[in-house]
Amino acid sequence: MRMLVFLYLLTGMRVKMRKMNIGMFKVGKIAIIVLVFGVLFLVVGGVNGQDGEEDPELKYEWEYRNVNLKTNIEVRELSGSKGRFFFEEDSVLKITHKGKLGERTYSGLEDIDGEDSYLVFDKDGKMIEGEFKTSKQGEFILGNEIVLIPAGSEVRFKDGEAVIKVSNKIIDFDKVKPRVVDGKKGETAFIFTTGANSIKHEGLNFKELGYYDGKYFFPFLGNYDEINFKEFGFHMYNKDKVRVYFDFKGEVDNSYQGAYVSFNKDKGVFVTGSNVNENGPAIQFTPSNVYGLNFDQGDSDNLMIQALGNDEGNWVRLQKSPDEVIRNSQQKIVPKIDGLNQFAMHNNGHAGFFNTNTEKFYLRPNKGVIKGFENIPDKTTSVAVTVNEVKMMKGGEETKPMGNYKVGWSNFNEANFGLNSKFIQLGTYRGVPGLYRGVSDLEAYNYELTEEAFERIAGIRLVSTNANGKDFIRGSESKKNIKYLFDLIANMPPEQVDMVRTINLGHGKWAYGYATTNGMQIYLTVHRPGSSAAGSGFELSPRLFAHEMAHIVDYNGGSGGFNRDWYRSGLNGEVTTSGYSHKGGESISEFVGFFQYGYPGTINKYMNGNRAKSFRRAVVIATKHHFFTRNRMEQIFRASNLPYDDKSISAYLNKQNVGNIQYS
Amino acid sequence: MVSKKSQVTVFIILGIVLVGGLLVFFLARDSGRIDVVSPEVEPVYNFVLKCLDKVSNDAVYEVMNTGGYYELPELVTDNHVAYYYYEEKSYVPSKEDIEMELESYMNDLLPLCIKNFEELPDYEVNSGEVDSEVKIEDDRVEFEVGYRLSIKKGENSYGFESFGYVVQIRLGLIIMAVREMIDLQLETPDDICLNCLTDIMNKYDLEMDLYEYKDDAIIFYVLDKENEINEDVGVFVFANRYES
Repeated sequence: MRMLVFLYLLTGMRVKMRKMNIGMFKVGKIAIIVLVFGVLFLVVGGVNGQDGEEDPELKYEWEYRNVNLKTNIEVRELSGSKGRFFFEEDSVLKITHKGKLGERTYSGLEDIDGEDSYLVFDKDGKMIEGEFKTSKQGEFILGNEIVLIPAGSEVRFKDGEAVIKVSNKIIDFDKVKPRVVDGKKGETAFIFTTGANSIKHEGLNFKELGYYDGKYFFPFLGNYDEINFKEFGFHMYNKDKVRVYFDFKGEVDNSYQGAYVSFNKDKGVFVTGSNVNENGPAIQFTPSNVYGLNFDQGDSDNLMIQALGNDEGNWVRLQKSPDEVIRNSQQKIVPKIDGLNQFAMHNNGHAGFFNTNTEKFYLRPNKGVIKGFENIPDKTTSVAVTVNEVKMMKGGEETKPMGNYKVGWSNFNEANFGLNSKFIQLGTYRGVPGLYRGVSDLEAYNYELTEEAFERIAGIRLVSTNANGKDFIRGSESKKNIKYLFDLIANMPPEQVDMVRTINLGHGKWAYGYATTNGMQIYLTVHRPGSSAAGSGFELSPRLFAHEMAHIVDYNGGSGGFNRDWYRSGLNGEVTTSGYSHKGGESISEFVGFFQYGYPGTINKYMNGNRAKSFRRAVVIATKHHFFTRNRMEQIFRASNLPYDDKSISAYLNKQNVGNIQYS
Repeated sequence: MVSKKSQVTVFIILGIVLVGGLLVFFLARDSGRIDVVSPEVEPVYNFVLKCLDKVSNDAVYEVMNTGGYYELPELVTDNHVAYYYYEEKSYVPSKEDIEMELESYMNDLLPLCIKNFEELPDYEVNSGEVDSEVKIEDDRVEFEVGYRLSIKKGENSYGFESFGYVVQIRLGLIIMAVREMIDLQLETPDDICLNCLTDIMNKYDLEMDLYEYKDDAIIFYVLDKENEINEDVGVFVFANRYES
């Protein structure tokens, strides 16, 4: 008993001295004197002891539990439900609860250098606050979770957040992972931090790792706000230092109470969201990404996405597109982006974002939208990607404010809004009103402008070199010319493209389409360099191309029974345009070549002239038989101030009256 | 007593005259005016009309390609396209401003085409100043050109006061569409609303294309694909500058 009183006095004195800030020399002297007396007491006590106990204890009885204070523990505050304990080096604290937590001993407790280390427990024996260092590995109950804390760790635990700074040795997070002690959900955010990337989790090494109620997060504790995930091909910036949860599922997750990233290498999916009204992290993808983004070699391509936060749910997802079979060959498709509620993206020097207030998608041509990246570099080409679907929450319901519209982004700093991601129209080639440039989600259209790629996508063999070795695709301009060829076929009905097997380019007096044992072929005269016929700079005339392709369709009988329909049009044998005096089959090709790429004013004259009903009918017949796309047919009627709804189209075909247009 | 048959004949004749008159009236109205030109000075008249055709089309074509200007304003790109949106302010000219530009074009360039009637040496022609008036309608541009001509051919004298010409282009609609675009632009100074542009183009049945240009400029092309002008589709061009 005397010894216990002494120990109590000793520890009390120490704390008092600390509070009084007495100099170390004086403290040392007093401590030595006290220590000598203490040893004497111990010796006497030990000799006189009746039962010879090795670890005599101070014992406090609370309403709910016993607290057994062992070595070097001092109780600073005691109340009905809380206890605050201070301790010296290598202290041991043993708490015995009357409840289900049972007996728990914390040993190897140490001061964190220069700080008042302490522990606070609640009535259940759960630690609710504390600062301490561990000299031995041991399990601690922080909040309602039990966690294994490695030796040499500094623990700072307050307000539901426990920061555990472990030594640099590698730890396996699965072994230290907190687990709940009472079946309730986890309430403490655990942050493990090291001086190096020495926390192992899911095969990765982390410098910091957070854990809250079964979920992992990036704590961003230090003076940095970036994480580089080389293996997953992205760089994360967290300028606002929000808590960013993460997982490897690659899925939208509305259960995260904060921002999150979810990525999956195998599925090629990256999701970032923010389920609170705060910006999520900015994600910058790198050339090593696994989501299908194609970065031009040597370019400093820059593609970023950011969820802008919404407590109704908010995410933006980038995912690798599955290959598509086009004309019997597997084609790569550029990645797709979709999102719920407001999000932002940067692509080269441009930004795009969806605003839930206006329900519109915006382009910001010269500035960044993402915080901290307002001055985005504009030194390279964009990365091809399709914003495939944008959804938003409206009155608790999920809506699609952009309908089925998509935003196509090419590899050439072009973007536009359209319905068909295979070819979202941009403007037309100068001087060729019906020939549109476009943005396509075909990887090859963006990154592989080669003859081989054209052959694969068109399903047409391209013979571009003559017997003398002359290359009509023209070497250094081949990419531009191949893109032009891509555009030519994109403006034609796919059924028409499917009918031809070979395109031969050359210089000659004639161009022609013909059938051989190898299938349909066309021979196209490429004009002499400098005499551009296309508005693109390529010397291949689009009208000539359409003309020769029309021969092939004619030969194939269109969609079946073309001749019969054509004879009914009333244009049989009639050459539509001047300057070309063929008859018979040429009239069809002349008609198609002109109506595909002719000037609207002239088309208008035909469509509203003396032979109006024949021309209108011929346009519909030509569309039915795959000479024109439906889109082109609508343009022709629109240019002629004529309706083009299904009812009107049917009426043109049957020479019935359309609206105020009276046929005789 | 006049027979019933005669009465019917009179009515038929009257009917034909009436219908014919109306037909002449409507046809003449469609072409904008009723002109009765003496065959003797028809070559002069046709020559002026030919120039009017060329200069009217050139005027509309050129003015549309610069953003509505014949004399360029201060704020233009270095390829001579007027800025409509610059430092977050709108510089869209009014329809009346563009009409005045077209008038100036006509006033300045019609005489250059006429060249004092050098091509018609058989006629002594004295001409006054060109004083044109232009009206931009939704679907056309009307030129009313005051151009007093005194023509002497032998002993006979003739005179013309004015000429008219219509260019079929939906310039009025384009101007409305562009104004809507810029009004929207003012609401979001740094941003281009892609949906909105599509909506506006659909509303007016126009097409649009845009290109990045130097000095933070974006050049917009609004296309009237229903009409052609100078063997090209009608294209209205303007530029916006977005701060970087």
